[in-house]
Amino acid sequence: MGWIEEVVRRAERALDKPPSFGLDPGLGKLLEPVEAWGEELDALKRLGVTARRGAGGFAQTDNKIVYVGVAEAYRKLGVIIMPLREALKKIPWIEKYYWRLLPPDLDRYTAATALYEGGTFIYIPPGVKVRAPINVAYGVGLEGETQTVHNVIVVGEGAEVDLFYACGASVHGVHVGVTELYLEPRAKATYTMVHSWPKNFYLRAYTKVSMGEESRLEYYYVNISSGAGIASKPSFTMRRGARLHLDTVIRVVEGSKVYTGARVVGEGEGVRAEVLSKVLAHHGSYTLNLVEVEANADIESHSDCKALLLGDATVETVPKIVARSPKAQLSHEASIGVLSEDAIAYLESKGFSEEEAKSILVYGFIAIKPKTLPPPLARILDSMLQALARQAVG
Amino acid sequence: MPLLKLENLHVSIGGRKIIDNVSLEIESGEVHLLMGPNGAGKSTLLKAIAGVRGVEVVSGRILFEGEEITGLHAWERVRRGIVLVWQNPPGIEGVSVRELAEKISRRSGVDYRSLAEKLGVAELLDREVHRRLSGGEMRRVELFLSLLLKPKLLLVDEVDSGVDVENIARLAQVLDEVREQGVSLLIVTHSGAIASRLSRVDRLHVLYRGRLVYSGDPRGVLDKILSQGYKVFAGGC
Repeated sequence: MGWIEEVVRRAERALDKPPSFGLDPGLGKLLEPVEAWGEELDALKRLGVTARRGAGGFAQTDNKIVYVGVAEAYRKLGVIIMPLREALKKIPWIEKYYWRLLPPDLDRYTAATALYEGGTFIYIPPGVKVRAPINVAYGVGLEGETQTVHNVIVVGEGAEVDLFYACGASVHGVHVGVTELYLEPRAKATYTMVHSWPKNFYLRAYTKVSMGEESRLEYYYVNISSGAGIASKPSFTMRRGARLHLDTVIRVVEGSKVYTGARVVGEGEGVRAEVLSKVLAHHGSYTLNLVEVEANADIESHSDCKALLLGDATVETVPKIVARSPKAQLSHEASIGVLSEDAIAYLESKGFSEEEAKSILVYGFIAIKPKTLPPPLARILDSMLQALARQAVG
Repeated sequence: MPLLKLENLHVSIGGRKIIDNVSLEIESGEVHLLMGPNGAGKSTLLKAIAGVRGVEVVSGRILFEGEEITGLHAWERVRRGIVLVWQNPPGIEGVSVRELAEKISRRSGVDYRSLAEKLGVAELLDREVHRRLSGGEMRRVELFLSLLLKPKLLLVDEVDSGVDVENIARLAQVLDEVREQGVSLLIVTHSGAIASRLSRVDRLHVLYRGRLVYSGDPRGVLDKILSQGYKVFAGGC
């Protein structure tokens, strides 16, 4: 039996298996992906995102793949952006990367993804430096749908790329996003993801990243609205000399239940990881934030989990650092607080209304200072954060 | 018509009476000093004039350019030209001096870059607002942000506290220039260190246990305070 058949067999057996982390909203309508060229969802345009700019892109609305493209110059260099199902038929070596970081039978959501997966395969050949972002957009507009997408991304040895993902919905439903990201030795990537979910919408995200020796990754996640609930805890395995900078912001809206965090495993000497996690918790929301760093070698890591309570909310922050090497240097900070009355009073005395003052303070709390993100992406990210700050106090 | 008029002002914080029946007037372009021992209520009086939240005017009136502003929010007073320079401003996490200056400039129309150069804060623009700054840097940044607001009346709280002699002279020079541009100043000083370096002081007010015990010519009285302290006001003046 080939690997793809094996994946299908394992997935079929796991369709009833509940998840071990986060909410279990159940599987709604599951649809096979189809190609249907057309417009991307308005919701995505409102996020300022289109797949049609940059070095290439991919857009999927519900189960319909509405756009796939690679700029000619990069296509000639061997860059691939392709619907995953098509890639499975055309590229035999994809099996090396397909469901290798995550098991298809982890739970019913990964299983459903393996069986109905939309999503994309992105490949940057060794040494190719992609100088414009690759934009990927997913939208859900079909009531009651469970959208299942699977992103397999391979950044070859010494290659460089900036990846931008935007996901949004306009209806009740579930988005299951499975991402397997491979950074080969000395690869450099930035990975920026922006989400916005309506009330009664659930996100279950499964992200696993394999970082090769001396690779670099900047990972930014901004969630403007958490919808009904989120389960998302990306995991990173880092080999010798790899560097990770992770910065996430989640706005947990009223009534939402969010299970989040990150797991970082340092497997080789000289690994450095910085994990920053910020939660804005609205009235009546619940957040569990689990940040785990595990050192199996001489690594340096710092994590900082902060939460700002904007009402009567519950936030549990659970840091975990594990050292299995005598020279590992691991540190963790955690804080939960409210907006400072003194700071509001100060900003009011500088001419800002109470709402403007709160918005400035929230923006300061969630601010992301990108390290090497290209200016257009940094501007999008910043405008998202500004909008998020305004919505948070509006 | 005076620029600022306080009429029988009573002020409390958290139910505790701090200011007791204070009245005073400041004319346009004047420089007034407000002195008093620690805990006399000097900062509270400035905050009451600026409308800072948490500082409650229990009775009395505040008039600015003839308009009663007692019930206005702080930002509404700023838009009329009343600006408070804080002694110990709180830090604003994640917001750079530049970002805040840009926001203020958009509203006031003042070019923040040239003002930053003039006040020697250009190299501090990318630092977080009032975080990890030295005392002198913080005071310069605070004065910079306050002047960006194009004040008509600048309420300066303990600008000379903990500042070395050289920097006090520099601050006095800036405040003189501000006054020359027609801005009125009400300057709180505990030590009086800045008083001798200002080219002009029109009036001195002494606050003692929440009450105004002296309002008038600074000459003589200032020397008396500096040589004998505030105990000379213990029985009234």
